[in-house]
Amino acid sequence: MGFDVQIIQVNPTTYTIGVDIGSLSTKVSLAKDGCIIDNAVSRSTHEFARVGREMFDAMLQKHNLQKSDISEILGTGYGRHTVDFATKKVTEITAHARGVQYFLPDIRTIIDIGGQDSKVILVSPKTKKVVDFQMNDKCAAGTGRFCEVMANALQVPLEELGPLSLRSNKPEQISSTCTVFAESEVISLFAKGAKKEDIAAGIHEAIAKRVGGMVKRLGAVQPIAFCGGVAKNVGVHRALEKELNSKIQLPAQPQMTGAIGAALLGFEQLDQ
Amino acid sequence: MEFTIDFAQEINEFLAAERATGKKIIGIIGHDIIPEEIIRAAGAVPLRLIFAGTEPLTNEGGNYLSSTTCVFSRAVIGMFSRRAEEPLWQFLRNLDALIVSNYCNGDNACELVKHYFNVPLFRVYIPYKRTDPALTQYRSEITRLRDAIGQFCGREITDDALWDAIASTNEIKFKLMQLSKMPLLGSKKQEIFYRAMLFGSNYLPELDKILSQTDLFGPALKGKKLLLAGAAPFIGDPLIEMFEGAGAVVAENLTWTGTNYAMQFANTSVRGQASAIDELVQVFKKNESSEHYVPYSYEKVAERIYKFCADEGIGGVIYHILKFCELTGTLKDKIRDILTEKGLKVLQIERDYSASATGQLSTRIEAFLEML
Repeated sequence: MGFDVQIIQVNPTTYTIGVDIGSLSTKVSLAKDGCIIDNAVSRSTHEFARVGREMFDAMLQKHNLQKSDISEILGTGYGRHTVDFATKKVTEITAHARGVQYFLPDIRTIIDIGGQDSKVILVSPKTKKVVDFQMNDKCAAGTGRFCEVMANALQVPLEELGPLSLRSNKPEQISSTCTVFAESEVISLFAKGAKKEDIAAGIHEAIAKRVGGMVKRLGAVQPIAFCGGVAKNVGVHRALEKELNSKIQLPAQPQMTGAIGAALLGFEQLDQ
Repeated sequence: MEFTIDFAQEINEFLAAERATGKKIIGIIGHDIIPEEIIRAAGAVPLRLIFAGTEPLTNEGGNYLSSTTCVFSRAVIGMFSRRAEEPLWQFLRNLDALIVSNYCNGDNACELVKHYFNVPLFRVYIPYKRTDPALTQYRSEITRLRDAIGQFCGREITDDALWDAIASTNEIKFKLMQLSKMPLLGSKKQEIFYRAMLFGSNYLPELDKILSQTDLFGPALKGKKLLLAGAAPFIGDPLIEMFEGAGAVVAENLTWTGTNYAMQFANTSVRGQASAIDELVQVFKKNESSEHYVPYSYEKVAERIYKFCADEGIGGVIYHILKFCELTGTLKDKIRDILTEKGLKVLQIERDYSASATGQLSTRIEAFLEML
């Protein structure tokens, strides 16, 4: 008596990882067959390569995976060139565009404010790809670093800066967008007895004016999304909505969209 | 192209050897509007100041010029202030004179070289338009320059001498035009352009050798093709290498250290019918799409960029601006809008020679290539 043996081809699971090394924080995302299954975030410190590697290893360990199980590892972010174990590299502009569309598929304009720079990205409604972008110059104004310096000047924990500013009824005007001069202005306002919440609101308005200028120059198209670490600051979010007179959507994990986008691009590029 | 001490010494030895034969060395601020043929016709050697700035140089220049002056001019002043002690800039000690025009604010600012570094100066006033009165002014200015340079070099510059200088300069430019169409890396082409601009006819044998050795070219270049326009890259500026490092092919450098330099040549077939000065006026008249004339002809600048892109299948344009260069910067958006409307992608990059901007610049370049 014989057996009919039927061989069934089972597609193996495809894992891809995105490693986004920003100037302030490093993010890692793991995708399984093009769906994000896990994320991690940690401080970048001054050792980009070490932190990136440790987070990557921790992600593999957590999911009982070996490096050889990962089909593509995409490095992105300011420190992307330090991801020496990456199979490919992609800029954070392309990565954020993809990552934001994972959560908000119809988005057309993306504002990304990270630790060191701010960017505005236009996405094609047809191809979903980047069609134009603007990026701040080397100056730290309008970035996460700017928020950090200002929070420090106000002696407020960074994560409280946003909620604090929402209590303001009369935002102070911060006339300079230069981090160094603005810090002096903040200290001076503080010394004059201005309320912390009014100064915080003024700081967020200064950021919104600067980034809003980039959005206007590029010609914003609705709907607009906001991502990057600074998108977690509710004060900047509100100030941007006011400056642009528009609703601005937040993806579910605004700080992670670069790593998520990189992991997804890794999966999508497997076919190419 | 990196500006090495070896290359600086090579320039120094070349200039010193020419001086030893009694020739004068006359500097020109980089651009293509001052006819170098006048210097050659006087038996002198033109030295184009096509050297990039660095942060220390611009800071040094900041001792003399405001920080809102063109970064290139601040860097030039920095180079002169360091020529006594820094080996890289010692070749500048060979300069006998410098020609400075009102061509741009940076050019103007270099007038300080006369006052603080004791270099004799020739001033030329260049019109910004191409109307008949403007051309009359240009004719008058280059005639005055011809006479002054002739007197400085101790010889009268005859029409024949000027035509001969035009012919020898044309020979270099024609060969550079030929080179610009060759399938070589943009950075390699740029190095050859720099050497030809610096060493003139002395570089012709090397240029001939390069043009005849087509086996040097290797396989077809792969990568997204770009055209570089706007402010010129200079020796020591890794701009083209940055694009190549990101995987692009800089197929055309349409600035005045690239193809635009080679394109500005006089028509020697009218020799005997027109004076050499009149023909140089015609060269000036035709050079109206130079980026330095954007206030009056930005549409022509855009048209020319578009034509090059269409002819060579280039999809992306890099419009390069040096900080506080008002002429390449003023109407950059209008040029971009015209090109974008025609379907080209344009990346504007504004730089100030500071090293700290490199990370963001490479992100911009890579993102632009990803977008193409």
